[in-house]
Amino acid sequence: MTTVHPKRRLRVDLPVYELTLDDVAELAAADEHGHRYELIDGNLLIMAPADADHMSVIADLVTWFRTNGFARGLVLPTPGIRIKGRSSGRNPDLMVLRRPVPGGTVWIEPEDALLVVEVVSPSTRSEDRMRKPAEYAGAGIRHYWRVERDDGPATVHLFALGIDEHGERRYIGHEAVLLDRLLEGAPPALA
Amino acid sequence: MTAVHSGRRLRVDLPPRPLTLDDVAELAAADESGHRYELVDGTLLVVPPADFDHAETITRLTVWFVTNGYGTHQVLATPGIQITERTSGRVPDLIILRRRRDGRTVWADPADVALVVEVVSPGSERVDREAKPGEYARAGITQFWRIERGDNAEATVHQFRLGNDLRGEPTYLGHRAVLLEDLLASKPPELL
Repeated sequence: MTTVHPKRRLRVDLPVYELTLDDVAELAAADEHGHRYELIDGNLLIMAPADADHMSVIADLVTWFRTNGFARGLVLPTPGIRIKGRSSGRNPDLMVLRRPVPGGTVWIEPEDALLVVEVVSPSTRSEDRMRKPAEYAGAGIRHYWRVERDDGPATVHLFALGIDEHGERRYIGHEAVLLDRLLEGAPPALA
Repeated sequence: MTAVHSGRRLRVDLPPRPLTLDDVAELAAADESGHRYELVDGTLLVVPPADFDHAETITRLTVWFVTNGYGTHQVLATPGIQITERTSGRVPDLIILRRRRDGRTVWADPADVALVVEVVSPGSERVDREAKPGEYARAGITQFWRIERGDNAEATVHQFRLGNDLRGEPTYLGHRAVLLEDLLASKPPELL
């Protein structure tokens, strides 16, 4: 009598050395389910694919930018962005670029980024509210928006890069606007 | 002719949903390369194996506790701790368990944990200093130690006890700093 073992659905095979952004690009390309991959100081994060609601918010924002004059190659959903060396990279929900980048780019350079948008999910709250803004500010990205939508109407929190009282880069100039209102008007100037 | 790539394995096979602690226990059991697997609100975090210095620090602490009367069933290196019921779990460097638990346990109940120790490594600074203390405090673990190691200075143990902040939320307070060598030359505190 043979015993049938159900196919193991869970498997992570990684080399012993610390992963680089190139490794993570390879993992992401081979992923069949749309998992999101990030690398922070050599630590790999694997997130479940975004749900339909999350995807809709991203799609709405992409459409809004595009119909308001932003060229195709400058508005990217779920791109990769290099944060530090070859050992840190994030996968934000949306990016608006300053200039087009080569088509095969997986990890975009922070100096090519004008705006990063994160849509907050229950599983990403503290990352999106605290750690990521600090990283994006440290990398010099001019604008950071965060879309909160848990217990009420989706609200966009807009921040611009400044310098804090300790001389560190930090997001300041906070404005909050309902997502629906934001999408009714034209995008703000993003210098 | 087939090309054989030796030593290089890069593959992830996970279901398209947030993971649970059971999933991560399964992943960890199958790991062959010393990675640590943590779970933060359903997001998997894979931590590369630590270097020898890090491992030795854990060994020295283990030996110190055991030779001072703590049982080998209580002094556990890199065990799992459950942070939320299903979707968050961490793997600290060392814990002291209050009492013996079932040998097949993968994720310790925080109520059973008297002390968590994290040894900071390059790459883990932010998580060990910012994210984890808050998680362990909210899980109710009464003592937390963090060992900072620099290049040009002696390893230092930062000890905290669980208290309440201005809004009545659990937080680590009562900070004391002691050089690791001085700590190991003395007796462990009474933790249980």
